[in-house]
Amino acid sequence: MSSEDIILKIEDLKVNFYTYAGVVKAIDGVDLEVKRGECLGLVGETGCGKTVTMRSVLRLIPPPGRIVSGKIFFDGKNLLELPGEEMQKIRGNKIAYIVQEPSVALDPLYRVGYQVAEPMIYHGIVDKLKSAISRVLDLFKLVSMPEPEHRIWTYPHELSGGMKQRTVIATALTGEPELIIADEPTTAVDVTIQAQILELLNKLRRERNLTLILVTHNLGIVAEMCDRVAVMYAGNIVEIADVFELFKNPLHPYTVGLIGAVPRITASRDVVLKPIKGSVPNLINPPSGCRFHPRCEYAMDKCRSEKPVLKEAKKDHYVACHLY
Amino acid sequence: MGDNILIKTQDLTKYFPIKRLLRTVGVVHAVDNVSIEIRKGETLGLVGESGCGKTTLGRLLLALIKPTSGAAYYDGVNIYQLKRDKLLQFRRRAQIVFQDPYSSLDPRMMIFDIIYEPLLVHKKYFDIADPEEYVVSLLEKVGLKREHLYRYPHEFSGGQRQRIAIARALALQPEFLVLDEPTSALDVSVQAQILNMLKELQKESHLTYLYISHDLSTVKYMSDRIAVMYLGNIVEIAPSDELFKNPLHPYTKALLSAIPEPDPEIAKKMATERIILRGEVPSAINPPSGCRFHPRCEYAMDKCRSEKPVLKEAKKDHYVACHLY
Repeated sequence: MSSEDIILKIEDLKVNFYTYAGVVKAIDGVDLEVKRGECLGLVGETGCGKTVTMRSVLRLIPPPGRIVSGKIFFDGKNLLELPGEEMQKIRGNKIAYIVQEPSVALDPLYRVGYQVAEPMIYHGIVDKLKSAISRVLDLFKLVSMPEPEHRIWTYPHELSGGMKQRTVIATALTGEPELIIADEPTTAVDVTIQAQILELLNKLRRERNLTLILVTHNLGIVAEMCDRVAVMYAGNIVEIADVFELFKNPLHPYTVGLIGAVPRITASRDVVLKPIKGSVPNLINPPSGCRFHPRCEYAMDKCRSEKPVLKEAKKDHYVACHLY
Repeated sequence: MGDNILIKTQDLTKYFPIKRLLRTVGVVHAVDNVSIEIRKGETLGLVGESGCGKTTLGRLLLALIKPTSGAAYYDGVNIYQLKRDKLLQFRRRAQIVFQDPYSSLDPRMMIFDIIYEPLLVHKKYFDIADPEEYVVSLLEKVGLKREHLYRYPHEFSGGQRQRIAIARALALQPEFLVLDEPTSALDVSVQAQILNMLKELQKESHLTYLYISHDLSTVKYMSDRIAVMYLGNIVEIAPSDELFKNPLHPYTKALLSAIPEPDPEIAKKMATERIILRGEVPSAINPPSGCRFHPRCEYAMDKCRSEKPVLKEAKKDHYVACHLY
């Protein structure tokens, strides 16, 4: 794989949150490569650091959080060393971000058309609001907004959850993004609307040859949408593999547990789910060694003392576990 | 069947008035003419999208709210006509586990008090000699320990809190439990723990469940029969396997095909064959005429716009409310 193919490369990223209760090591040495044109799934449970990793890419970690160390390369440049102004040219322009909760992302006091137009004016794509509006209309048509001419002039509270998410996606497309990070784009909507949104993201990927990072906890969505998957647990990436390989031959005990714990509609009722014992650890005092060891049935002495690193167990299949 | 039925509703309807300046300007048709039966010892799954009336129906079945019209019979008795003592006795037999264990447990009460409170309320008919031992036995039933007795809810994780909520619901040894999205606030690895525990408790104590959820895959895992709800109406009821193998109502078909399966080989194929519903769920304040699903239905006929379909038996034990059948 030549370096040309890598659109985003994260090296040894560490992010801490300095809270009154102590230092939360939210991201503890994440390495990740994203190939141009692929859809990468980033899965994990609540609080495992999926969102923080992706927000680090845009340098949008809110205080008391801080990126402690690491490098993030995009277009050959280390984003963490760019001056603020340069970063602003990339944020929302070359790299777009779709947030989880569209009703929070939209300002209730402005008409949605204006909110979609704002980044275009900011990034100098258009010079006048009037010409921006005609582009907004095109974008609304692209994201299949119902009655787009009318919706431009509405306020967010007049839109349904699905329409709000379409507005947020339209905003993400205002620049000509090469990379879109979608952070749980469908958790706030119902399944039939989720199907519409996933169809839209697929269409955009095909037509615009976009790279998509899909952050989610829903393994079904990952299986359907993604080419490769990275599994996160308690601030670490524990496994990366092709989507077919990951579901067929999961290596890390956490991945195995996660896949065994979700009910399937094609399975018989008599197949008993295998839960993972215990619960996600507190990251102020994370377990020593491998952070998964207190919940792992294969834990050895080595797991308690030594942190496993991500290594290639099979071709293109990386796992961070002492078993391999 | 006959005496096999624990709960039976008849044209159960609940409208919530919308008030502006003391006047009623409209009503939300939350539950509309629902007639269902829940059999002893079964789990009836109730599935539907947000705002379709699932939770309202669950609350109606526990007489937590009164219906606008219609009746619900628990063991043959109309629960909305129960008074004081009789109502109290009914409540002992029918309990609920709420969706969000972060708001359903009082942060200022210790675990012992939380679980003991229902016993205090029902002291007259349900007297326990040694409350502490009894509460400990409940905690052990849901996988917690004696040492947790005198702690506060904030010291527990989401999964543990839901276990506490379940212990509280079991305190009065009920026969019937409404489980209102009991795992939607939990992570998948913990969700499986709770679902398995609920299944075991059901076997041990011969409980009857109404399992409410929007997540079809957990509904399938839990339920013997499944009722599908859309905008206040039950559109289909069938045994679990039958519903998934042979969905009849166009809404059920779309709902089933919208679930991404956690298996890339199936999921990527399913995505290409998916039935994608156009538009959104209409408002329950002004629901569509006739069949409430007709504006989104690809098979809609003239009849669907004017005449409301009733639930009828299309196959043995498989009921559907659709003019196609």
